Amino acid sequence: MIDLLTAFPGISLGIILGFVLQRGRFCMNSAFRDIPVFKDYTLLKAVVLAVVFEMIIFHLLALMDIVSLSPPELFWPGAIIGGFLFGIGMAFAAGCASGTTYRVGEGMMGSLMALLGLIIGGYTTENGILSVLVNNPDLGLRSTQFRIAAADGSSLTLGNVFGTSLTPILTWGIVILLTGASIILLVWKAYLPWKKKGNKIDRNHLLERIFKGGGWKWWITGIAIGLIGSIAIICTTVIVEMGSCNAYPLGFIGGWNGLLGYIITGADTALSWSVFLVIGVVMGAFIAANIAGEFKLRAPKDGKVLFLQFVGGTMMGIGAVFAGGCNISNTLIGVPQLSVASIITTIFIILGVWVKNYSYWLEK
Amino acid sequence: MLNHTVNVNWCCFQVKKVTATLDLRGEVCPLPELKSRRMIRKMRSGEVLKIIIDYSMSADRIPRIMKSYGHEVLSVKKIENAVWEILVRSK
Repeated sequence: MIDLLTAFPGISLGIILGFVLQRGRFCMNSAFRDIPVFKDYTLLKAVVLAVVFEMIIFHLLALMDIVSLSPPELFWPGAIIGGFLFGIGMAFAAGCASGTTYRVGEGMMGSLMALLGLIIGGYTTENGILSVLVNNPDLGLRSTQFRIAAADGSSLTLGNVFGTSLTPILTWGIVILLTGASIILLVWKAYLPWKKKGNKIDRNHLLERIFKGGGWKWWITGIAIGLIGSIAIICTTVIVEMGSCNAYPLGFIGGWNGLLGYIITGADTALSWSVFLVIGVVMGAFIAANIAGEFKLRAPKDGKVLFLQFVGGTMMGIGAVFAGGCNISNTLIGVPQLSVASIITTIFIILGVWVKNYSYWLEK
Repeated sequence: MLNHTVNVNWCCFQVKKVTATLDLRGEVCPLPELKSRRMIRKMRSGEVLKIIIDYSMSADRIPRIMKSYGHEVLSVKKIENAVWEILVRSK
């Protein structure tokens, strides 16, 4: 039987997330690639803002004992190889896990192919023929011999990397430092130039800007994603405490794997928080695209692109299981918890994207 | 009569204005941006490039990138569901 206490908030938050992803054009493949290829930092600023926003909110909520943090564990070969494979894969797929998912809601068949690849690659690596690469006791990328943990056995974070006695000072030191630096940069590089141009928030056309027209400003997208991540961690803390099921705040690979697992086995236990979340994301993106007049079933004009998107999606699925999560669960949820595994994975995702786009980078 | 004259002038102006057209419907990220960049680099100063795309993200990003390279973005219009037309004047 479907657990409504997981399903209802999962689908609802997924719809809001899908709406925000579509309206904010939020895609980490573009965010990371645009740095060297176009010298454009707009989407990167949205990603950084979301991460910093979540960093402060997550730690404040944990301090108030409202949520329990669960930083991903570090299996170093999984983080490095998985991150790199995921990065190359998302460059071929023309979208990260979230970008691919929201574009399915926009009607893009290339993204649907990438998503099918992601689901097949992820499921076979998690449960099928490729799972030996992950779990083999000697050489598996996530076997216990490769696990690096803190002195007390917990997940390695920047806060406990030098021993657990320094954890509160280091954790809060990093959070306050990064938050302060971000606020200064936000005011100096974004707010003051915006104000200097004589810009004002146009309240008369606010609704039109939210639902129609071009994509949202990067800072609106960043804050909205940060808020959604913060709500998600509260929801999953409650779900875990109620004993409903294991739940990770935001993660796409777990959701799609769970959905395929449910389709194949019919077992209700496969229907986790993440499954409802990803279903909601497609629905939310579909609603947003329809309201904005941006929904249309369309495919790449070159069949080769369609095939490469499928291959890229498959690489993403495999890489995500190697790394213990996709770009959303690592960069957007793990990094704000200062997880060393997520930081390493994110660095290698970025490297993967840059290597695949190297020829574009050199174009003069 | 007056309307007729105005229309004819407007049509001539339009024809003269657009130097090249790139139909990038069916292209995925980052090819709409790359192909637009390659094309405008071949164009002479003052010439106008018309770009047609069906990739929502590029409707924001092509104008942003073109501006950052110093080109003038004349207009961004949604001409039908999920199809945009962008006019850029080369610097």
